[in-house]
Amino acid sequence: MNTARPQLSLKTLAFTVATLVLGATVFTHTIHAQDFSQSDDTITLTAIPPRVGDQEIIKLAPGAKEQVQLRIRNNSTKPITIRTLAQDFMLDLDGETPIPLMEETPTRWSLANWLVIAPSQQTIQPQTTAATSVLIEVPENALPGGHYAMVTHEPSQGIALDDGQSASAISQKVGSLFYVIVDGLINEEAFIRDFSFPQLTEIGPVDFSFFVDNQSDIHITPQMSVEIYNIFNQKIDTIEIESKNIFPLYNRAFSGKWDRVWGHGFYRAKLIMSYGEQGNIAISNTSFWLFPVKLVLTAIIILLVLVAMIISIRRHIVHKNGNKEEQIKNLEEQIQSLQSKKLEQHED
Amino acid sequence: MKRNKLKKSIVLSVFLTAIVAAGGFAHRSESASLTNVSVTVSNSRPSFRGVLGAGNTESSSQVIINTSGYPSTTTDQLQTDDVLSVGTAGTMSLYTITNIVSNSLVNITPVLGTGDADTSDDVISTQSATHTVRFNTANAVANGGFRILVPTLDADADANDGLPDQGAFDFGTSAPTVTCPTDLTGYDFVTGTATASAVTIGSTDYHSYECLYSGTGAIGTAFDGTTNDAITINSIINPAPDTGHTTGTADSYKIVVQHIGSDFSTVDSTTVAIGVIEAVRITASVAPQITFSIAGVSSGATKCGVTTDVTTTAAAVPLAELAISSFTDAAQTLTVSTNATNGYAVTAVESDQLGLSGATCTGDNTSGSCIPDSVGDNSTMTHALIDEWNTTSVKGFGFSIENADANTVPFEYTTATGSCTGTYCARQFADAEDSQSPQQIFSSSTVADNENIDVCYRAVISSTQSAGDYENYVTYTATATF
Repeated sequence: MNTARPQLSLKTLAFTVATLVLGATVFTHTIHAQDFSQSDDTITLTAIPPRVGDQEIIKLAPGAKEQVQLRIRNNSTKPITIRTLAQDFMLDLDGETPIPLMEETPTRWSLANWLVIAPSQQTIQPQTTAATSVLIEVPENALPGGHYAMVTHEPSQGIALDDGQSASAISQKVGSLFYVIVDGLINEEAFIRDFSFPQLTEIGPVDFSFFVDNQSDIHITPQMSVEIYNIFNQKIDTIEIESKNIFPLYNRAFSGKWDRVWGHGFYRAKLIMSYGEQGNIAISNTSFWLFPVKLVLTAIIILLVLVAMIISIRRHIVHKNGNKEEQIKNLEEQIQSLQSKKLEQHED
Repeated sequence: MKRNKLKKSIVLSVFLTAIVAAGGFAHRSESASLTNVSVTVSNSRPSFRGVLGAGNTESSSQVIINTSGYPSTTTDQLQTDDVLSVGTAGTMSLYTITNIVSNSLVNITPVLGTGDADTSDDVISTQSATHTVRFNTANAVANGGFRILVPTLDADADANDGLPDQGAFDFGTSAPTVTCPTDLTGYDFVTGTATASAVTIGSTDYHSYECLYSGTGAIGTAFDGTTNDAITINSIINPAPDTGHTTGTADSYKIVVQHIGSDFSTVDSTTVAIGVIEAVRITASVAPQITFSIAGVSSGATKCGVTTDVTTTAAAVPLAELAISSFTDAAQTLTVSTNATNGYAVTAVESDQLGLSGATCTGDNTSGSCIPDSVGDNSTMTHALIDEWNTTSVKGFGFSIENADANTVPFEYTTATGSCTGTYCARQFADAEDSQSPQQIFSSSTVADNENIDVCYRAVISSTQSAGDYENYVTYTATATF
């Protein structure tokens, strides 16, 4: 029995080695490509939660304290030392974009100075979550009403810029908005401004818009609905408006649409807004027309033209018939005249 | 002699009797098994049959279950959105489970009604299933049928009251639909029938579900759901947990599949077991969150309609050696995800203009030691106003945006309104040193899943620019909207 292994020829050996080398080259290249595309230096941070005291209200008396816990997740591939800090903010003109205040001068709505963060710096391993406690210490002389700040997390490692080149160092912050209410005598007052529909809409839906002017000492989250009444003052529809927070002494724009295609005339819209802890109500009314004017005018014109045509045809027919009767009458008179002449001749 | 004859006769008779008997047995032993038999149950969860424990109150959304003495003693057999019947027989109200709080407590909606909060009131959640029976025939049986036997309670009245039974299948208050196979050669099926507690084998009662046919039948006919239709029986009520049931361990039940003759005698019969077991409850919590990511962009990439000259990282935009007669372009990718209601906003602000070795550039400083913020081709560019910037004779530093899929951006490099013509529309960063407020660069008014933009940086220097390294800091802040 032949148990000897078949011997590799030089050709086979060379082919095998070449294949291995080629495979190794391709494989190595692939690994490099993967490493490159993985972009190890991407920094991804998650702040949990995005808002504190919004849904679950934090209401504290002057002098009171409350501690809340934030979490920060490092979704990057490297450990990152995170610095957490509090900043006051105001809103952009859109009424919704928080703009961190660069100055440290406190305002009526400031909160940042009352926040104690511990730890304010910590190293978080990749794909792990760390916690930070925020102690809210309300001063005894705090003004009742809303106080707001953002607590942001940012990588704290200094940027070592290479010599011989200009550069912008980038700092990325992600954080949570804090809403704290200081208990006491809080003024709650808000108004609806510029509630309007287009005066005339021929074919729906009908857009509308309004502003809510919050003159309160506190942010409000109004619940709003628009009721539509027909010309007989019957309520025919209710449109719910998505609620949003409105910062104290800010206007915020709202808009919506009445999803009705065809209308038959005059309508009245009633905007009802309830807000605040006292259940305050603000109401605004407006009116508008939803009526396909052009369509109806076109139809009327077509109708009138048709009527005119019918009348014209009828008159023509009547006129034609009237002529025939006259001709017959004339002929009859001629016949009668001829007969009379014949009779006269016969008598003669 | 006579005795011998008698003996012979007796022996012969015994022998013949034995042969006949053996023949009979042999005939019976021909009763073969159906092959490839399986019974698939669409829902293997046990029904819940328990009672209220002490401490329940009317108008409460919480239901406390008695954890001993009844077939179901744990909420393990329940899931969110299950319908729960609570009350006494005949006056039970329906509730939907909103949350499983513990092994003895569930939340429901609506709240417990009048008379539905008494201790030991019935708590029932029925699980029904469609049974699909597949098999191959072993013998050709003329004008026969197929019968599926499902174990039931001995007490007939309870076996078809529509309430789940401990350790047995309930027939339901109306007969389940038995769907027989479509007719095929040798089998002309009639409509299937179902009869509660119709058959007793040994000491076990069975519900009977039959598909009878006329025709010759055939050997090896596959009623496997592929070659020919399988038999399906719908709405059989699954048993409540059997005595001694352990959560996570299946209760086993024997289903008998029979091929019967024209006289309803069993020709072939096979028994298969099915299991009834709690579903694995998977829980996960989702916290509201906002995620912000910055990634560098390699040189040579096309961003904002231009080719980037330098490679950036998440933490730095190294503009390298700036040129007098050509732009240096760079880019970064910013990404935000959030499940926060009303969305997110990202603002940007620079610490100052690019200053020599990071020195302060007060106001709009255009001295040789500061690279000023560009004013654009039409000299209208500010941190709030856009302007076209294609001319290298307009010196400075600025940025543009290429929007991938962010909900809202204030402008893009292609914006062709105002002073922009849409080739490279740009803006200054807000300058904190000059008391300018951060400006929003992208946002969304609703939840966002990996919405991203490219921020494109552009710089060009004048011939009078002092030699050295110029630096500033750009801060991006991502938060929820107010």
